[in-house]
Parts: sequence; C-alpha cells; structure tokens
Amino acid sequence: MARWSLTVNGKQQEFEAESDMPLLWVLRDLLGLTGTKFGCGVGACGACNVHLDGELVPSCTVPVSAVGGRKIVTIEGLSDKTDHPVQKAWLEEKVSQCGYCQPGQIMAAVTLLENNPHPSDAEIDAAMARTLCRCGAYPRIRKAIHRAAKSESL
Amino acid sequence: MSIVYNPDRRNFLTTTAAAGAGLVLAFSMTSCVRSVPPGGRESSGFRPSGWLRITSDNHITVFVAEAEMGQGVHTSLAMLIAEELEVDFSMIEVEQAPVDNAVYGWQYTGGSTSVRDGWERFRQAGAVAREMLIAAAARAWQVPVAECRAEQGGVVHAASERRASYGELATAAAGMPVPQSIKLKERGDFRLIGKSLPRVDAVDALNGSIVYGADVKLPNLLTATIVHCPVFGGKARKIGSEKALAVPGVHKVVEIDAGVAVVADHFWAAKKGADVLDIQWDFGPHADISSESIQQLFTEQADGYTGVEQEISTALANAAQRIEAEYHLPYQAHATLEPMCCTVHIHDGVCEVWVPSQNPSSAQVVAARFSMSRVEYLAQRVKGKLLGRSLESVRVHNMPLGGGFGRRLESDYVVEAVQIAKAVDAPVKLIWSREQDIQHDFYRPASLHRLTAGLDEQGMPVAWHQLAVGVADYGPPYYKIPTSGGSTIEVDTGVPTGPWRSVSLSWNAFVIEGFIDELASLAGKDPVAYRLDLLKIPRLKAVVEMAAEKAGWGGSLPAGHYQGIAAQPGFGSYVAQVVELSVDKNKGIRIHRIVCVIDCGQVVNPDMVVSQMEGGIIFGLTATVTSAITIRNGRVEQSNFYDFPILRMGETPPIDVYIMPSEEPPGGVGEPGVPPIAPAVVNALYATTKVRIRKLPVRAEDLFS
Repeated sequence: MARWSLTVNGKQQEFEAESDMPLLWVLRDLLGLTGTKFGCGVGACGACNVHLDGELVPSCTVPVSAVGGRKIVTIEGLSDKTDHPVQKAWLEEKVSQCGYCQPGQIMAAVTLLENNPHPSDAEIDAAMARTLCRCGAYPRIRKAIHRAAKSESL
Repeated sequence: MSIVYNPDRRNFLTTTAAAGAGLVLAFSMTSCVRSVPPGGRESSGFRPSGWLRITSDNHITVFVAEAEMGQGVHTSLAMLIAEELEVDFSMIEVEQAPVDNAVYGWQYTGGSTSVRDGWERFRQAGAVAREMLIAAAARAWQVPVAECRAEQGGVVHAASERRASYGELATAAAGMPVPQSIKLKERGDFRLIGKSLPRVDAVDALNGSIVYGADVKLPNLLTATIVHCPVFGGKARKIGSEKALAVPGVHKVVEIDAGVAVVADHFWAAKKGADVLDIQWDFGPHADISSESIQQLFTEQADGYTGVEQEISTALANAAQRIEAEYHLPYQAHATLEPMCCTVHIHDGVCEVWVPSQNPSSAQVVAARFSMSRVEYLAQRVKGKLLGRSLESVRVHNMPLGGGFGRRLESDYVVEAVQIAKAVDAPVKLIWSREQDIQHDFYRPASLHRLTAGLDEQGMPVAWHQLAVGVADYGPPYYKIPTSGGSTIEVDTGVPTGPWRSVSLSWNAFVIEGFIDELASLAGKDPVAYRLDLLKIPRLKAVVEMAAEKAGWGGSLPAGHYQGIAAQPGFGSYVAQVVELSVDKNKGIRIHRIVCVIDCGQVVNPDMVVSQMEGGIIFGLTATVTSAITIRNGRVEQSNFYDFPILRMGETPPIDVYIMPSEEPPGGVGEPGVPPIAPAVVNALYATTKVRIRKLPVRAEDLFS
C-alpha cells in the first residue's frame, strides 16, 4: 500500500492505495466521486472517461501509479453550474435517457471539441466510437456536439 | 383502481375504467386516495394521495412508484398531475415513491405500461387535490366554490381579487371532504400534456449527480463482487480462498446459493480477490449444451410436432399453393450499461435494500425471504410457519436505473446481496463485473419458427400457421387471413431466459413481417400494397401508409439504395418502419435512413416518444446486425463489449420519427420501437440482394453465399 497525492478537479487529494488500483476505483470508492461510471472494466465502453491533462482516458485502464503529476478532471469538475457549453448543448438537445453513460459521453465530447472545434460527422463518429450508449442516444449526442461547436463560448 | 399483479404474466391487469368522452368521471375515492405512506401523516400540509404532497411552505412533490430507467417516466407521470393541479411544471419536485404495496400496489415497471396505467390515475390525483384546495379557499373566503378557480399553483377569487398559494391552503385542504366526482380537463384545455417539456432529471444527468444503484454510499460500506459457476446450473464444489483473502482490502469470501462472493473495502480489491479464487465447480447437468445442440433440440421438437389444428391443416392442404420457411433467433443479453448491483444493510431488525429495480416489490419479497437470521429461521421453523421477515421490516429504496430493458425485472442479485449481507456485520454493496453481467443474464430466448402459408391463385394467403419452438408465444394475428393460428413448444434448454425489451414481439415481428414479405414477393406484389390489402387494424394501416409516404416509398432512390418495411402492433401502440440501405460486398451493409411512424394515442411528451423510438430502433439494430449470445460447453461465449458489441455512434443511421396525431388513450412507447427494425432491415436486404435472411443477426456469409 502506497500513499498518493493527485490533483482532482483542482483539489489536491491524498490517499493510500495499491499501485495497480485503477483511477476509476480511486475516484469512486476512495474519493467518493461517483459521477465517473463503471461499465466494463476493460476500456471498452467509455463510461469511466476522465481527462488527464486534457487527454481523454478510460479511467478503468489507468492504474493510480501511472497518473503521475497529471491533473485529473472528472464530470464533477467540468463546470461549477453545469454550464459548460457541451453540457448546455446536451440540455438543449434533450440527449439523456437513463443517463448512466452521459458523464463519459460529455467528457469525450469536450476533448473532441478542444482538439477540433468544428468536427464533421465522420470526425465525431471516430472520436466517440469508444463511448457506448445502450439507450441509443447517439443521434442526439451527435446533434449536441454540433450545437456546442456552434456556441461562441467554447 | 386496484392493480392486480399476475406473476404468471408480465402485465398489470388494471380495473381502471376507460376515459369517457365527457370526462366527468365518477370513481371510487378509496382507490384513488389510498392510505398515506409512512411518514406522510407526520409532515404538515396536504397529502391527498400516495402520489402527491403539498406542504405549507409550498413544496409540491409528486411521488412516482414507477422506476426511472431512461424512459422519462418521472417526467411524464408528474406532467399528468401538474396538468390537472394547475401548477407550472417547474414547481413540481419528483421523488421515487417508497416501496409500499398497500399504497401503490405491486410496484413493477415493464410492458410499456406506466403512462397507459397512469393516464387516468395521475390526472385524477391532480384533480382531486385541486378541487380540495379550491374548496378550502372558498370556505376561508366565504365565497361559493364556483366563483373560485385554480391557476398557476394557487386558488383565485376574481371578484374580490384574492389569491392564495397551494402552500397557504394546504393544511385547510387536508380537512376538506374528498370530492365524489371529478371533471377532468378537456383536451383543448391542456397546458402541459402534449408539450416536449425537459425531463426533471435533465441537469443532474449532465454533472454526475444522479445517484444510481452502483453509486450508493453508506458509512462503513463494504463492496462485494460475485463469481457464478460459468456453466448454467452448476455449483461450487470446493473453494480455495487463500489467495483471495491475501489480497489487501479483502475481508471475506462468502459462499452463497448463486456462487462465491468476495467482500472487500472497495470494488477493486473485491474484483482482484474474485479473479484469484480457486474454485472447483460441479458443472451440473448442462455442461455439454451449445447453441448447436439447442438448435438441434429445437429442430427435433419441430420435426416431431403433430398438433396443428385440423381446421388450419385442412385449409393449408386445400390451398392452391403452400409455402414454408424456417426462421431462427439467437439468445440476446440486456447489457445495461450499469451492471447488476444491490446494496443491503441488515440492522436493528430491519433489512434495508438500495437497488435499481424494475420490480422493487419483488426485491422486497425476496429480501424478506432471504434476510432472516438463523435464530429467526429456527424460531419460525418451530412454529411450523416459514414466513420470512415481515414485508414491513424490509425497506426498499428504488434507485435510478442505469438501464433496465427487462433485466431488472429479476431479483437474483437482490437475493445474492442479502445473502452476502447476512454473512458480514456491515452494509454491503454488490456490484457484478461486466463479464458476470453478460454471462449470467436472463436472456431473450433463442427460438426456431416454422411458418406455413396456403395461398390462393392470386397469391393471397388463405391459411397461416406459425410453429414457435423455444418460446411461449406465437405472433398476434393482425393480417386478414381466413384460417390462421399458431402453436408453441416450450423447451427447457438450461439457459435462463426472461423478458427483453419488447418481449415476444422481438421474435414474432421478425418472423411475421419477414414471412409476409416473402408472400408479397411470391405474389409479385409491392410489400406496402400487399400489407395494406391484408392489414386488419385501421391504425396499423395508417402508420404503414404514413411511413411509406414519409420514406418516399416507390419513388426514385439513389443508385443501389433499396427499401424494406415492417409494421407491428403492440403495447397499445402501432409502429411502422422503413429502412433504406445499400449493400457492398466489401464494405458490408450501409443503412442510409430509417423512417419510423408511431401511433401511440394521446401523446404526453412528444420528444420523449421520439427519443424512445430512436433508442428502441438502435437497441433492435444491435440485435439485428451486430450481436448475439452463443453457448458452448454450457456457458456463454461472450463476456464483454468487445465480443458482445453494441451499436456505436458511427453505426447509427439517421432516424426520422413521426408521431401520428391521435386522441385515443395513450399507448406504450418504451418497447414498440424495437420489433419492426429487424424485419425492416432483412426485407430491405431482400430488395437489394434477393437473398432472404431468416436468421439473426445478419451475417455477411448469409448474404453473400
């Protein structure tokens, strides 16, 4: 058991964990940040997507020892008032059904738009391919990404 | 308005009177104003029914007993109360109702029934409250009731320009007599019903603040995960738990009826422990079954079947032409994105359960049965009555569901969590791994269907028979065929099966709509025209016509594009879908557009209907073109999303949904979007390639052989 210090949503967090504990379970079970979801445990569904220094990663595949000094942002840290342009676009397009995958979808969409402010449909498909939605909200996710791309505040 | 749950079928039977055109309803107040749930009496204010509470500080809370699993039921049912109560929807707070059969009846969310069952009950609950609030205001102001009206969360008396909020009137309203008849609003007066209001959980879904079943937090909470015997029906014979117990954070290894659980400080330790359990299994009687052996069993059963009714076999024999075809469907997993989970804390004589469930009343019953301690068990055994814990001492908190689709009608994981909780002195949250979730589902059953039709000289069917093997239902007769029917042969394969979004229509629509398309092409007739000639139900005909029109059926399409159609009645609604696709031997199937028309009667929230159609189509497409559960050596071959792939965004075609205007009572919407998509796809594939696909999912080798 080792002691770790990570920056999560701008806050320094200290805790003890085995070095192979995936960031997902650190966030959920040690730090109480349950907005990041468990879906598959093998990086195949994107429900656990978070940002590491702005890079999109499925947190179930990142051992705590591999985080290093990179800053972690989870869905809870994306905005103070659920007013990130991507969240606002999601609300406008009425995207969510059961909602379980939406934190992962939103984190993926934010990374996409930061790298490519005006993605085509094909670019959206490629960027979102590893984030699954069993309710089938995909048509609205795509629309919401286009809507967020058009918003000036992004 | 009592609700009777018949556990042999998955439908609620309601005794609700149908809405009359005049909308003046006399109904039993004892049924509408059920007893108040625990806690309701203590809080100040007005609790006219289990579904509504208005406090004196003007908090208006709607209690929804149905489970929220993405279908938006917390919003749609609350809209019905708000409509009659005359409040702005933004004033309404929605809470999950406690599990209490005495107040809410058996709590069960399935069969696309929520809005159908709630359409009258929730409007009545709002109207009763409104009338009592008006009566309270009239009495306080000493004016005739007829001069007062409800408006935007208050009662007004125009002549004296007085207004009181519902909160101000709540305490007095609680003392008013319950009205003996209620006039519900006319359609033209609806302010909310028919509007695409945003869902009540819309914002919470975007910031991680919805607490799903997997997110439950309690002081001293332990986490468990479970390993089931990989072979269905097997049991652990010997458990080597040393390595698991050596994993830091692991507390205990617990053998329960369903398998072996590892209890730990957190999920990761539990999972690591589970991965190093050394279990010798007794695989039981099903170790040799495979998809092929099940298929063979089905074929043998079908070959040996001689029970076709005399009338049908005679009509088939006398027909000018006789056509036969065999259809196959595989097992399907639900694969809710949130794996199965349940939290249990047995304390102070109470068994407390936090579970995302479509069937929380069942969760309560199984928790009562399995949560008894040995001392309690022995005491009851001595008395000769093994009743289990009383239902009152089982508190079930139904949590938001990360997907349901029928999987969470089962309570297997509740039994497991209760049995694990009995073995440890702390609250325990059981979370299944994805692998366990895929491999220990209650699957949509695999089935084989033999279709036989007798045709007249013009190619129109005069006789029809469906032999359905492996399932309990054959298709509903919605085509005009003089002599038609079906038979079923249920087969115990050893694979657990259960309802999967759209239940029997997930196979019957594929079979019927595929075969009717075959008959149309044999007759040399257009598939839409052939259906319109034969369809019995005017509302189903109308959606077929509208879908054809919206899809430009029979018009000019881009080169290589072809269309297929399918339609299906079910769950009180009528749906038709047209698929436009092209096929390229190297690139595979490309679906360019799907047009969907639904007639679901009176619509409460149109956008939520559209979203359920989109979601149902995508759910159905996964089972049509990408995924199946197969069995080998008594176990499921798939284990996670890499080998049970669900449709991705890039595989999702454009979907255009149209809602047929209707004033009929509401129909269901959660499931009806699923059934037509598979047959619409294979019918379009036939139009493109002249290859008839009778087996799902569609494989390239079937198409290009």
